[in-house]
Amino acid sequence: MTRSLLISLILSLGFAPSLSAAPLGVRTVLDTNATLLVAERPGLPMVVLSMILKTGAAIDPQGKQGVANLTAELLTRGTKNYSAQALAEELDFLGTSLSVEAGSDATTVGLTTLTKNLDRSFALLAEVILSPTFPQDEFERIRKEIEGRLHSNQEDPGWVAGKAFKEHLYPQHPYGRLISGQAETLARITPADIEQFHATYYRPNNAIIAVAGEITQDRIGSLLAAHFADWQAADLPDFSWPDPPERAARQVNLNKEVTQANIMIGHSGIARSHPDYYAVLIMNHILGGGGFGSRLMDRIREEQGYAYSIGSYFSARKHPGPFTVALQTKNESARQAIDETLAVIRHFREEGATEEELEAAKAYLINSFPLRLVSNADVAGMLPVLEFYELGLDYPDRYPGIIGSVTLEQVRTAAKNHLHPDQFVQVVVADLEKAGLERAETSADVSGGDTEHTATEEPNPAATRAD
Amino acid sequence: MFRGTPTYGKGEFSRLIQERGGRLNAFTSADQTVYFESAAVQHLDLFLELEADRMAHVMLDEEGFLSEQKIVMEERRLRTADEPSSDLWEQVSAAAFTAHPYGWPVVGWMHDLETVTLADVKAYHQTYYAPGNAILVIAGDVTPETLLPRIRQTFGQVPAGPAIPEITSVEPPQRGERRVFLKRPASLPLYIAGYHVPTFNQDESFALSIAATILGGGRSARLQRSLVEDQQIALSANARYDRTSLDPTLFTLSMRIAPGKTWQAAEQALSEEITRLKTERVTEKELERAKNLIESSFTYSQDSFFYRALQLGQYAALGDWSLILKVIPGLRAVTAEQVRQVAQKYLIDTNRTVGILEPDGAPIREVPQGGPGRRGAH
Repeated sequence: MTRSLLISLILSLGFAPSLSAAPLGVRTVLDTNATLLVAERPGLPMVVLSMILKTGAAIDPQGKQGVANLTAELLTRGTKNYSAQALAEELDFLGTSLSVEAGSDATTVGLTTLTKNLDRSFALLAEVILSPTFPQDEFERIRKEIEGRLHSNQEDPGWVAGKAFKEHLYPQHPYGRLISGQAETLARITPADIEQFHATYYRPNNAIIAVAGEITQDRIGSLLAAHFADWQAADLPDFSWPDPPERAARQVNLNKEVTQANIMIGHSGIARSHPDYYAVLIMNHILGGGGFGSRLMDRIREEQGYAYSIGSYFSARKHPGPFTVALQTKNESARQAIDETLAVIRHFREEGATEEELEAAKAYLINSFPLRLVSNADVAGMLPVLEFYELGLDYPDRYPGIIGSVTLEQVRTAAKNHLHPDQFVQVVVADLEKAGLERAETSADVSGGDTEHTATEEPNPAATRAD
Repeated sequence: MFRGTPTYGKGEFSRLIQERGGRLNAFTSADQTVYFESAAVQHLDLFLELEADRMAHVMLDEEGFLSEQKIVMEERRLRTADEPSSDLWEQVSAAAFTAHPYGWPVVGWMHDLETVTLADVKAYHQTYYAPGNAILVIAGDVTPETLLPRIRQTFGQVPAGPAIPEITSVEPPQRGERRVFLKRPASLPLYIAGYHVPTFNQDESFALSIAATILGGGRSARLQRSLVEDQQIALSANARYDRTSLDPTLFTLSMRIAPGKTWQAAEQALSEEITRLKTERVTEKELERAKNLIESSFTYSQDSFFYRALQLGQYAALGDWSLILKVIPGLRAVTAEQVRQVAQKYLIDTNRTVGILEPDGAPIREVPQGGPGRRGAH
């Protein structure tokens, strides 16, 4: 009876911050062209820092995918003054958590420290950002570890489906590649590639630094002066993004011994900067982004009991990211669940949302927004995102107005313009015989050299239906 | 519990909360079932009203039951059947607990999910869903003085309920190692060792927490350094101990074996780490590091109202919410000798259940297919 969503919600109990017109933080551009965002939030004796470097795995050289990620992982594996183990011990002794994670568009550095350890934590942060040494043995070990994780992931049908899905949505495009790279691309990477990536992109003029917690503007200024004085700006190379590939309907069925069919359906979507972003956000909330009460959840889970969870999502990034519908159902009900899902989407696209649904979605989005900014971690996480997408630090105050002004007609138009069932890529990882899914005569290996996959492609039947 | 009441029909519960920007969900652990909502404080009255209403009046009908039954079976397929590591954890618990219900998976065995009836569910609800068996935790911008009258108006109107049947099962002492092997398609071998240990109601729980942190906490943990970094025999290595378990639980050490290595070699390396903890006292520096790690993460967890409420609820379930105040002083007082003593007392072979996942075929096996031009099974 108990239900809990697969998609984990960001949770916080309690109160919404008072509705003041004060921006979320104070923005300063430093001499080095680093952007600094500070939210002074006295209370708990802790500080959270979140630094975004505006370069991620998308920029990895062709054939050497995995450089950005490997650089991020190696940053904490040895610096000028600390071996990997000494650094780990020092961080643990302070109770400071330090993470570096490469994404597709950006790399995020996270630091959580007790206020009393601010100075020492910043010293370690500076070591990691400014003076990593990328020792050969650590390079070899971490590369092997990433290869091991890639191998390990293969037992996860959701991961296998997700990998095939992005490869088919984004052939020859950065969004189609694994951030970690793959065994054959990792093998081509040398320590020199890592050093060059670090030297080129870990620059203050490529950085957004956000800090929230028990700290003052003055204090952060003196910490940066003390520890980051040697961080020099440098010109960044140009990178021209390829256009997202043409959408093309296709069906990919991977035959695996699993009890559940893992199903992913979608196509490339929109960029964060798209003028329709907010109409799409609301439209998708009603379709399948809103969890319980959304059309897909109501139909596929609550009415039919096909899936524990189903959701739809527009990943709006710097460039058009994927629109994805994902669900899992027992092999035997895969076809019906897919048909029902497509029927819900088509019907929604034709008929649009109702006034009632629009109002409910707006109410949720507007009223839940303050709950996304309750903790220090929330605020430190949100600040650089606002800067990265050029939304402004007054965004939280403007948000209710932006959402409130979206009309039913705009939502209907967004459904027509941004849902294209006739161009869906549909990936199914399942026991195909039990799922009653046919294999075409021509089979192609589509998984980028992974010969364990037998893929079957055929035109999506959706393409032949009236739409 | 989300299927409606005579007052608030199907879907109303979620709708009323979501319209106010609220989030809601629920989860079940071995000891508790937790329902939660979060939103701006002015909506608290509505939450109290809705939760009290469904505690007393949820409508359990055949249609809703059959649908939820299918959904939970999908949950089990998703989280256990198609996930080799969950499959192994389930096997280890089942082997480690012969008498105590901790041996049962929280989601239930598939056969039980198939045969459970609406009458079973109704009886369960009748017995356990009543204020006499509930702990209400509210964290946020509130005061007890203003809250209590409102709670009396809502939950106060629901009958306290019957006396709850006690769990009388006591796991007998384990006298000899148990080993379970799981053979199924998977990428890499997985190894779990679970040792029976006491819980929060014994002082040893603090030393056990420190031992778990020294072995598996933070970046500098011994298992990470030795097994993952130095010997490169494991891809990951962890130590887990939950001191808030109601009844005696398992202290677990687990490893994902690195490609090309064997679980036998990894077990040997792990055994050396356990021996080291039992023979050498940890240094004051390492002890201090473990304490600092636990204390700082405790502070960080206060950053979220949700975790504050959750933690208070866990300690309240142990008898008194204020037990949480004993945690940091209790951990701070642990000595190196006490860590060695709990390791000597509990981390012994006769007290453990070992689970080993031995991959059988490819990570996810191709389904055998006949006919020309088809690729066969691996």
